[in-house]
Amino acid sequence: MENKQGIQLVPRGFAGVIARQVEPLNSSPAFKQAFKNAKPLRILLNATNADHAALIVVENGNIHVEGIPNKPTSNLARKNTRWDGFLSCTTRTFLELALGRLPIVKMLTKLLSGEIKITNIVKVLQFQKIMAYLA
Amino acid sequence: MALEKDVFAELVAIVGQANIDDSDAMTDVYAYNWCMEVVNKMEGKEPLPYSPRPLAVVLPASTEEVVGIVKTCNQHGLTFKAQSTGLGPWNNPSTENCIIVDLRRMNKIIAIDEESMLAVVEPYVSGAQLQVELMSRGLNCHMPGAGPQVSPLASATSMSGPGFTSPSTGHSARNVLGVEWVLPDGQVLKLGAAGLEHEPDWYSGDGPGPSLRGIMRGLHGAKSGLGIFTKVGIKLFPFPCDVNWNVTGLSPDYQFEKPDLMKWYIVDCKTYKRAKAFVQRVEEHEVAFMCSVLSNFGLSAIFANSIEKLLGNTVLAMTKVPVVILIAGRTKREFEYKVKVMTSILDEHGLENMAGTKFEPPSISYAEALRSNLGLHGFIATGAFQSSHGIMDTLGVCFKATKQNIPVKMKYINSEQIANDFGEAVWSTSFEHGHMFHAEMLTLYDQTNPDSVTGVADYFNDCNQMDLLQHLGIPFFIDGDERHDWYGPSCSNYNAWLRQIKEALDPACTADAGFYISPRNSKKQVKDKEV
Amino acid sequence: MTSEEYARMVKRCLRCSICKWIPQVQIKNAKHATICPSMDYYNFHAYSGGGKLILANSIETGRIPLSETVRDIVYKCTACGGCSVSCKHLNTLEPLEVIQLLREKLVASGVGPMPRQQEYIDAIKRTGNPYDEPASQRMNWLPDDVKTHDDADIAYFVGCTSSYRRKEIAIATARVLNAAGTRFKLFGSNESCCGSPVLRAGDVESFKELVGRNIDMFTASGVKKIIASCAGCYDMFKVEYPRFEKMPVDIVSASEYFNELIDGGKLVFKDQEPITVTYHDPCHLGRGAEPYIDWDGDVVQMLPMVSLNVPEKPKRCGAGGVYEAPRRVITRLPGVQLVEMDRIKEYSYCCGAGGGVKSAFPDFALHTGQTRITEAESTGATCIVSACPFCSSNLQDAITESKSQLQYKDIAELIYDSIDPSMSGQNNE
Repeated sequence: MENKQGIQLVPRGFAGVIARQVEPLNSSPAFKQAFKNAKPLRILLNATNADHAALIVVENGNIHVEGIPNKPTSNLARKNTRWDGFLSCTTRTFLELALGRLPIVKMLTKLLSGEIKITNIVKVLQFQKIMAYLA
Repeated sequence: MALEKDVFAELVAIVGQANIDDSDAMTDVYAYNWCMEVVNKMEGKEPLPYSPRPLAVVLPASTEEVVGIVKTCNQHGLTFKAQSTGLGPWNNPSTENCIIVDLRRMNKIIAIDEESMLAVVEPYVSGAQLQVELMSRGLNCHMPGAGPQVSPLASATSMSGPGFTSPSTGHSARNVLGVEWVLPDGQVLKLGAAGLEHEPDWYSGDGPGPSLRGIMRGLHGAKSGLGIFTKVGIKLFPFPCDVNWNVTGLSPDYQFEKPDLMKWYIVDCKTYKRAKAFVQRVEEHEVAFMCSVLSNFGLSAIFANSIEKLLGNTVLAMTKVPVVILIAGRTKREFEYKVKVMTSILDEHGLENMAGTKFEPPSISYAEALRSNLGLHGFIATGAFQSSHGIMDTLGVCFKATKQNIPVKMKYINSEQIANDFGEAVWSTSFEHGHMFHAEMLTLYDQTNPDSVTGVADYFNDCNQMDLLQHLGIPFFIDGDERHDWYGPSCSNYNAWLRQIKEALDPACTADAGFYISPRNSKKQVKDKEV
Repeated sequence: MTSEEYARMVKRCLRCSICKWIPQVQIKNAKHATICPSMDYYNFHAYSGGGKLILANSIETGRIPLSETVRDIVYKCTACGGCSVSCKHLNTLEPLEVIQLLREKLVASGVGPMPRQQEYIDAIKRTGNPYDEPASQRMNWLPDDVKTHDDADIAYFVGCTSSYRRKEIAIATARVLNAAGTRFKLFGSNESCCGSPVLRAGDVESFKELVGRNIDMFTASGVKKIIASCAGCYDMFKVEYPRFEKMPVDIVSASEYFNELIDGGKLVFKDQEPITVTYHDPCHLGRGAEPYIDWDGDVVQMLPMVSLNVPEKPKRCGAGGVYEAPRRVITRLPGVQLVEMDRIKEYSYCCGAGGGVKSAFPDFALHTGQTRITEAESTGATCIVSACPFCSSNLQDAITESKSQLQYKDIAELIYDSIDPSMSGQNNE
């Protein structure tokens, strides 16, 4: 699977981890109902200490992940991936965020230091809502 | 150091040529153990997984041979270190002047008394071996958290003893009955009714006079520092459910035909306060076969057989303060009663059971719980773990320790010396349905990375300090001269009493005292001092 | 594994002793709870899978040298892989691979292999078989009534042990193939050792030569499929050869082929007296015969010290071995009832012959065989069946030594005894 720029979209590496985590949502009636008629959503998660970013695509009550090699960084550009929201951090920080273990103060500190980069936080926070359907 | 030829010959005469080995290759293998690198680092040595190399390893087959070995050691100024299944650094010698007594050939189940519910075993009977013999009789034994492959005798006589099934099967220290004990001078002492001249039995562990069971092991055992145990009577318990045991499939993904009358409860209490109230209530009602407070990753680990599956159990990894409970019944009525009790307690506390709703426990988890195989899942994440604290106290102190440990541990997590479990990794359980509680904080590390080992060692030293200075219960790993002498003055100078016991029973320090305590003015000293 | 992986792996043994037992959840009988023949015979910890990992670490870190003492410990092991199956249930260590690499290091340094093993390696180089029998006599087992076809695209690879020592297996296999109408050829005097005893002894350089020679022979023969009645040969062609060179042919074990023949209605069986048998899983047809799976995934470090394989890397725990085919064969033979031992499939207890043990440490081999025979007797079976001539040799020696009443049959013999006489000699054109 490739995008228009010829970038392989198979979810490898970190993207594969995310793909495995979110796949159960496709069997969740609550998730499907909630996102059946929602506007399509594309969130790009980039693990700065891994080789692949994960583009999470939510459409018509289904979710899938596309893997994007994160070098060169132009691969992650909005024009190439059409993301609605972007989050970049280390895998450790990602895990803390995903499990709800990053206190707000620490998150702000990491934002200020640039360890976490977020574009369009509203969309990124929707990802947290999506993850909540796994619980 | 090499074993003198005449001593070698004496030992050959006792055990036979095939059962003694003093080669460098063999003795170096016995010098290695799990966590030895951490112990070495804590003592300021190089973080190698090796203790001092013993002079030789001998394999006796009988109490008589054990006596012969012990007497030979006495005659020639040697020490001995006994081991059964041998897991952990406390099986290792503290000096090179040591003979390892590997009790592997003493592997018989001597007796099972169904009516009195006791078993008598030798050192190298494993927990699983004993359990399968008991199951056909509708009985069960306690197995320590280290797993079903370790020795119930070693756990009963020498080393701690909490287990996953402790709520229903107790603590090894409290399950020990009659004992056959080879003292450090070679005398054979039989405790309790086992020592009777007329119609000896194993049922009573104490006779008239002081309880030598307490002297023998206390809470955490002498770890081979007071002699060698060659037989032990241990309490048995009813097997909690149907004994039909049907495991299918192929490794590593086995399936188990789950007994009908068995049920998991996985409850996220969200806060330690709620968890404390909930667990106390469950234990009051004495319905749990197993009841453990874990952390999110610990919970996920017991239901996984790989790191990928561990992190893939997302719903479990998202819990905050999970409690996992297994109930079982031998009759439908018993089981239904326990289910009703659990439902009522859950309602009372506004909690819900995730098992069977948000998460389906794999069928093999029931077999692993019955077989006490869950502790080994702790190795899945990084390949090595060890616990700190190891508290025996009230549930309140256990939770206090869990919370107070978090910032201490986070320091080493943030320096990337210990794996990140948010500082929360804990395993806490009760003994005898809430009569006492236990908590140990699991620490995941990389034993091949010296920096990780250093971090763990420093962290464990911090934990020992915390245990003493903040009263966080009586910990696991206070052993050896240095730690006893440091802890003792703050605890009624128990170290002085311990030393008196050692002096009374082993003035020549023939039983390796590295993880026990040495006598005063001993000609044989421990930990690399001159012999 | 790479040398870096090896150096790291040998530091990771937890000394938990799980490697001495069958998987804990499979223990059903206290007497049949162990998996390691070396530990059961020698008892010292160094003989276990974990013990040899620790030994490897001691050598790797320079604490002890390679020596004859080390050699003896390492070779007092049938390389059955039981330790690996048990360890890998939860862990990611590879005890058997470390044992194999230790042997290779011992050979490379000149300390190994054991003298008796060197003798049979030299014999293989001279005569193409470890028994030092003339190559010209390799086909002497072939009875006149067996028909072969030089233009067949299926070949039956007999193997050294069946050719020279357990001829009844070769004869029965060939007759069953004839009865089913299978057109097959033999490699005749071109057939020589598959190399299993050479590889297991750690002489990987000599093994590579044998691989090259045999693959050339297979290619030149034009066959498309090889049937192997020896578990050792099957393991070599299925699992080990592809690690060195591409195999030009498909390989199938005799058990699997027989199963296909029965599925296809090619064999007709007669009614016969009831017999209760138990089946011994040969190590090299069972857990050892699981192919290596190429894994093209990624390692993702999620946390310091915690890495994930994406996708999950398959663990070779023996699940891919041949277990069902022989059992399906046995249970479809009229009058034959199968009762299982306590240690079966991927946690089967070794017969005691493999890894060069039968030649170098015959007492150990015999003791292990006797242990297995005692377990077989405990099932109430009157016959023990297996699918490996090496298991056959050692288990029959053990039966004799124990004065057991058990009978031994290879699966080919069991089938041949069950075939309707009207089928014998059928379809031999």
